[in-house]
Amino acid sequence: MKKTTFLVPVMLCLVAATANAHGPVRQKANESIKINAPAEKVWGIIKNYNDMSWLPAVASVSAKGGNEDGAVRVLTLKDGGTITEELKKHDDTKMAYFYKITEMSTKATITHAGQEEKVPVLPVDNYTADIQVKADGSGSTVTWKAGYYRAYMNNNPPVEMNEEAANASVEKVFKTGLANLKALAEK
Amino acid sequence: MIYYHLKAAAGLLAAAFFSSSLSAEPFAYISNQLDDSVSIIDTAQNTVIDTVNMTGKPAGVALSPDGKIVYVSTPEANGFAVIDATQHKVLKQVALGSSGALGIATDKIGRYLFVADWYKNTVAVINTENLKVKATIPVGKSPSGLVVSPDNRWLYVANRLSNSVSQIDLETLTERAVTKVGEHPFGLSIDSKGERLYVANVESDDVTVLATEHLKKIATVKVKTLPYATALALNDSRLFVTNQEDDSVSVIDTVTLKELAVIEVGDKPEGISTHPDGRHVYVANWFDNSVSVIDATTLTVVNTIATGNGSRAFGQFISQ
Repeated sequence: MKKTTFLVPVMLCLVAATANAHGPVRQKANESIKINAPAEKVWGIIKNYNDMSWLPAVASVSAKGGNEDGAVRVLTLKDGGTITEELKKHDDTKMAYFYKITEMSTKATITHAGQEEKVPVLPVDNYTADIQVKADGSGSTVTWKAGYYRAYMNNNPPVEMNEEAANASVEKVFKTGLANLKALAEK
Repeated sequence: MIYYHLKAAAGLLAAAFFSSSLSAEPFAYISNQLDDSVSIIDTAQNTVIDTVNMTGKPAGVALSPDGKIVYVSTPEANGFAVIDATQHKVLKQVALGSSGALGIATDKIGRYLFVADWYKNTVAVINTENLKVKATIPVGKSPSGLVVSPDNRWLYVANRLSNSVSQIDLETLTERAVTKVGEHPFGLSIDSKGERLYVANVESDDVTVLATEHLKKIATVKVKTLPYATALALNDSRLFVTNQEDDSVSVIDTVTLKELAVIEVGDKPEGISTHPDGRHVYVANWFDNSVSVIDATTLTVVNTIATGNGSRAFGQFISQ
């Protein structure tokens, strides 16, 4: 054992290290809601990949491929932006589907560290998500999960493109979406 | 080893022997990136016996050959942390000057530690005695998985954005050869004879099988969505591959080179390592904050252990 090597106090190194720039770490979002309606009814509202009428932020959808793996939908948001998403896996028996964002329009162009940066409508990168309905007593529980990185892939992100911005945006979409789904299903 | 310690009269050495004899069981060290911690699992009980808190968003894990030191890459602290496996304490945090530290591995004799730099496209060779960088070896783009040959002669590096594997000569500390594999190779394993490499290709959803001699491609085996890392079990007869976006582990027969089973594990499985018994395979589930234990003979999950937020454990994370 070369224990003596490690007896050097570590605090100085820690301070120096955290003061430096850092790289991105994958983030996650995980929201669920209990709905007083049978799972089949809730799944019926969300199962068609080309139908996003239950998500308040979405104005319209153009899609091709139905519920087949590889199907693509383009969401046009009420504020004008677009998000393109590819269906990776659709499972009717599990009442779940899994998708990935492949393209987004730019929400704003900002200048950061002397460079122009395009902030996407959802400030995330490499985003995948899955939504699943499960029977829960006489009702159901819907869980919406996502894994993603912040939008800015280099060191020292601008506030518009950091982890906090990414997490807050995804959480907002999930919460408002699930609340609206509950309202629709419990009608 | 015991003889040596019995002969030593110094109280300190006797104490060191006593504490190391307590940690005779293999332990699994699981990095929880979003929690800034490492969960220590006693594999005899399959329970978390302690959690080491740290900084820097721990990602990759490597162990010294004697199992006494755990090295964890800490990208947000620009380097790696050194953890005392007996005391469960961070002994030192070493900055390498870049936030790209991810893949991490040790050699077979405890001389070097290797840390791949995702941004600088290099592998740092660190002298474990003084934790100083001995060499920085240029490799392909975004180097990720690292594995050392059993004879300690070669280091293999998966270069994710170059779709290649580099072979590093551990005597000269230079790149000796490069070969193309599938799209976006990430984790990789080598068999116990040092004859075959298995490389998980994240984007092409397959595993490239290479003969280490001339780095010749033997086969490409299709698995499920986003294969992330690999581990061999049952005397190298089975290869286990985490399919990150399929919440499953593919099992490949290494003789027929076909996928023979798919085992459902937790959500977003990432790091995977085999217990020294050769039979139990541990899988870190990033989204679920847990570890699944697979019995390689029955191909079933026999245990699920709660860990911390964002379990990644990329590397060989079980003491051998």
